[in-house]
Amino acid sequence: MLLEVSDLNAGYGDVQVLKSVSVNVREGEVVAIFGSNGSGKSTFLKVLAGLLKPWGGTIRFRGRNVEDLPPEERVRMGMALAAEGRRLFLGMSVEENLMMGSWTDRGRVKENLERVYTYFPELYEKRKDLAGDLSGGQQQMLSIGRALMSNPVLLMIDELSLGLAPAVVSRLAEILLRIREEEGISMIVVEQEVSLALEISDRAYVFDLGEVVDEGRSEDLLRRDSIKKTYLSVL
Amino acid sequence: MDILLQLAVESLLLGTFYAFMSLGFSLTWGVLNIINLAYGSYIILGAYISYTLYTYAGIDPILSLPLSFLIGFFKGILVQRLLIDRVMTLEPFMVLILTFGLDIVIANALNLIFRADIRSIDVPYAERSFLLGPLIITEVKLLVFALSLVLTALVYILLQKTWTGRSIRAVALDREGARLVGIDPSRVFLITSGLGTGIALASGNLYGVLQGFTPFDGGMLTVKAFLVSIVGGLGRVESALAGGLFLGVLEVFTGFYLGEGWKFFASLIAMFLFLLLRPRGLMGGKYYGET
Ligand SMILES: Nc1ncnc2c1ncn2[C@@H]1O[C@H](COP(=O)(O)OP(=O)(O)O)[C@@H](O)[C@H]1O
Ligand SMILES: [Mg+2]
Repeated sequence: MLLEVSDLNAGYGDVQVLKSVSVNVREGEVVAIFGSNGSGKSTFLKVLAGLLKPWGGTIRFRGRNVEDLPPEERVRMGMALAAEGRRLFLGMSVEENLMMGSWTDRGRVKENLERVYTYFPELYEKRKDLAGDLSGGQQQMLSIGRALMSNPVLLMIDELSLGLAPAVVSRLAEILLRIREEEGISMIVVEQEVSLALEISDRAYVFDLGEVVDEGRSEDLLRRDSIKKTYLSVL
Repeated sequence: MDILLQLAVESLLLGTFYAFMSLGFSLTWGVLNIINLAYGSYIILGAYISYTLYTYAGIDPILSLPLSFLIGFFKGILVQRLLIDRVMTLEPFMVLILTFGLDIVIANALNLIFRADIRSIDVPYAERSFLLGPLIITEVKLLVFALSLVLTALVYILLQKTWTGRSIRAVALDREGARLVGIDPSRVFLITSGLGTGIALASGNLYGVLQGFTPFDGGMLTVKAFLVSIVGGLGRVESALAGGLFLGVLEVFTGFYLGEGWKFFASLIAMFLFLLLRPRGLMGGKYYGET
């Protein structure tokens, strides 16, 4: 098991958000998380990345308990988060943003750049532009590209498709597939668009009010009536 | 015409010094989001260090400049670790009070040691000047200009081309984004405080050869650094240069046409006008503080 999260509790101030959340990710697996707005998906990823301290519970990553480690240690161990709101360095060039992604892997920044540019040729085209001048889709690519620059074994993406045009989304999904094939890395993808989430993942977790209310293989969830009714009502 | 040219050159020489002098203030503001009210007294502290070394050991202020920088660097780190780190996340207003208190402590300590007499560092080249076409160039001003330019360029290269510099800019642009890639912002805060305070003390060496000073001149210098920072926008070397040149022009021209006594008054007026009309600076806060 690459990642084992057990009984995770977390919140802000004294407002509890995550309630006893347990999630597992195997080597090479893509896991989707979906659930309504405010159900704690971003909070969950923030706790995984070390940006928010959990109240209780354990996070085992590559056989080591990481819940007390600072974010930089977790990046070094191979976690990378393309966060909600992207948090790009808008006043830096595209290439500098990518370089910053290799902060913990500075010796290999050249190779990492080359690798990421092969996945995202449009970033290469725009490498001298300011990140703030990119379109939404390009910014999402930059956010994922920056996360890849640390050579992660677990790539976490918060809101893959939010606010992006369908053509951009399908291209992103294609690229993720390629990354997965070529690097064999695991992914956690938070995605509101449930059909997309289930399409690109092996397994999925459903969050509601800070709890895991359902989980299973994505193809099984796709066929399940309760999921169809609540999350795929358009079908 | 000649007089205008002379004034323009004077503005350029002085303005470049102001740019370097204010760089530390602008950086700590842009990166840590802290307004350091003790900044001017750090500059004065540098002036007294070089004064002491020159008067009692004959060491030229230019030679002791790296020493002032180092003292400032470690002092900056110490103050950040021991004092500012503890309050800056709790209550921004506390930082103002803290640095204001620091300013008073430094000024009064200097006053105890050196008394309030105006001191000056009378290097042998202080009064020398030469003619360049229609212009009269004071050697010491040219020297301070050249050093300011070189040191500002060094800071620019540090910020743009080194990993440390990039991490400073990253934290200034987006703290959370910096944490995402594994940068530890509190380390960056320490380095930036060190760098900023180092610049302040180092610029004090230059200030001391430009003009006389007393322990209580820090407040006025803080105002100048503040003006330079808000004119250009925060945290960028280019912005500090723009702001410095603005202040240079302002002081040289008001000094010449209205009289020396008007210079600082003009800076104050400019500061209020900027805060009122263009609080984000001439270049607009395009890079720093906008997320
Ligand atoms: N920084 C914050 N401070 C306080 N409450 C927050 C913060 N971020 C999120 N929350 C609250 O936590 C809950 C879960 O939010 P979030 O994890 O962002 O959900 P999701 O990503 O699933 O939409 C929401 O009720 C939200 O209002
Ligand atoms: Mg969210």
